[in-house]
Amino acid sequence: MFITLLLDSTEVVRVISSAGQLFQPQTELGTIIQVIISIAFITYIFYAQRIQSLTMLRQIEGALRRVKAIRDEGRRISIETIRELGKPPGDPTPMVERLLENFFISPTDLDPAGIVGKLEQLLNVRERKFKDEVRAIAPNASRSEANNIENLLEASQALNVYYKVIRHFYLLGKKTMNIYIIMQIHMILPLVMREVEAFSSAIQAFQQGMPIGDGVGALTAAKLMYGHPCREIAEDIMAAEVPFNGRELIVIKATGPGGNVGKPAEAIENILRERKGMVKAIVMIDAAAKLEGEQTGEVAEGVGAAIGGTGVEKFKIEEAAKAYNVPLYAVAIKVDITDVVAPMREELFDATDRAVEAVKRIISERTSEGDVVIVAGIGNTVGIAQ
Amino acid sequence: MVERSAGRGAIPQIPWVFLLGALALGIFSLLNLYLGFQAYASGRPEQASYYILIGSMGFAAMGYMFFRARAPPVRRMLIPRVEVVTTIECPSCGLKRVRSFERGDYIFRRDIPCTKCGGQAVITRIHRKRLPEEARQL
Repeated sequence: MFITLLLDSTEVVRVISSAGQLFQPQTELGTIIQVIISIAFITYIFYAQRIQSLTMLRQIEGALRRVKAIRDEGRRISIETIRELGKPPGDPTPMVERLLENFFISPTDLDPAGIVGKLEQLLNVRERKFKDEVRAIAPNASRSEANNIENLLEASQALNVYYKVIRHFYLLGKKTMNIYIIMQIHMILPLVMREVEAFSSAIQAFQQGMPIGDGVGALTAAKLMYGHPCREIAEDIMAAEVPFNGRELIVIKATGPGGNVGKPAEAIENILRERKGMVKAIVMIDAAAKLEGEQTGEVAEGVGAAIGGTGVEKFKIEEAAKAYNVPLYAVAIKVDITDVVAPMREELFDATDRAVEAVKRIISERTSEGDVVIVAGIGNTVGIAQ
Repeated sequence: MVERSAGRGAIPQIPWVFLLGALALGIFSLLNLYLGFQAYASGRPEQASYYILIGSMGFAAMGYMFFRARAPPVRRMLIPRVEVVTTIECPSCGLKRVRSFERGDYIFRRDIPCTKCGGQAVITRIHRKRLPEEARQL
């Protein structure tokens, strides 16, 4: 019947003309429509901000659901890996839950003098406590596996924190319906989600012990020291003496292949003390966050201590370099935030060859034959031996 | 209905009152559409348009309500699994082979027997497969 009606042109004209009458204010129906439109307009004037708040809350809720699912999956994988590698006598779940809720209180900066020492001491306590607890829940894991479990739990811990912070703003925004509270999290949500995605990629890498994007510095050092005898120069740091064009390179990196960053500052201090300051230069290689538009794996050169983290290691390296008046050179390999803790991309692996060339060029240009140079490969050495 | 298994801080699901409301709106809209077509068939086009307009608006509102209230789908692959490859090279015979990453592999692992000469091969590369490069315009 409907098709017959549509095909009948006179009927179509009648339908269109009657539909057009709806919007004529002269008719009864037109007046009703006008009133409805006016009410909708006035409602929008008064409730626009509320509608906007609800829309933003809806988007935050979607992101929160995703983060929650990722966090739960990360926790499940962590427990499964601990069971598989550590073979604990009991159920590790309660201890994992407790580790995920662990927190760290930074020292007060009301009186900043000496804060680095205090921060270092607290970080050491946290690290030792974390290591001991991992050892307790995974008693049968090897040293490398224990380090990987530690990193895996740290990634799960980070996901847990992201989830809780987003949930806090979401629930607070919902409770108060204050657009400014909601906007705070809504504005940074795309950036936060990128970091969450990055940590979710870390789960696979640490579970399996794969090299990650942050390991480019350690890999560059490993390529330089490969085939030369190594010794432990500081806590979790290996050093190898490598001859190069008449110079002596002391190449350091974290002890691999377990997930580890070690204490490179302590290693540099020890070498400078051993050599009585007779070091011509320190060259540091590390992964650097790339800006959008830059290519992953771009190698850039600069001056300064190329090291991230809390700043304790950087401070100590700068202090040691200043004390012995040794110039600091830096080689940075550009890494996207989503690749930092994800399994290493081929572009990054290939970039380490260019970084090796850059290090050799800096040494050739800035030092002379007979000089001693420290080359420090910074970063997590998971999946990279020496 | 609240997500029971998640415990404290659970995110609320679609409430049943909302579902009932949406159902009532759907029935009301359907009735209006029916009345509209009936009115049209009995030669009252103005009244028919009125009913059809209300019915259509009701369905549009119901669709929008569901769009706003439904739980966003959580992607199945929450923890991305990427393909990682290991390259093993034998320094004695030069044999090079590439295989999928296995747990226990690490760069410069030296205790892998060479399948050709029986010597000790070394893992020289571990990385993800390269993605197609995007053309840089800016």
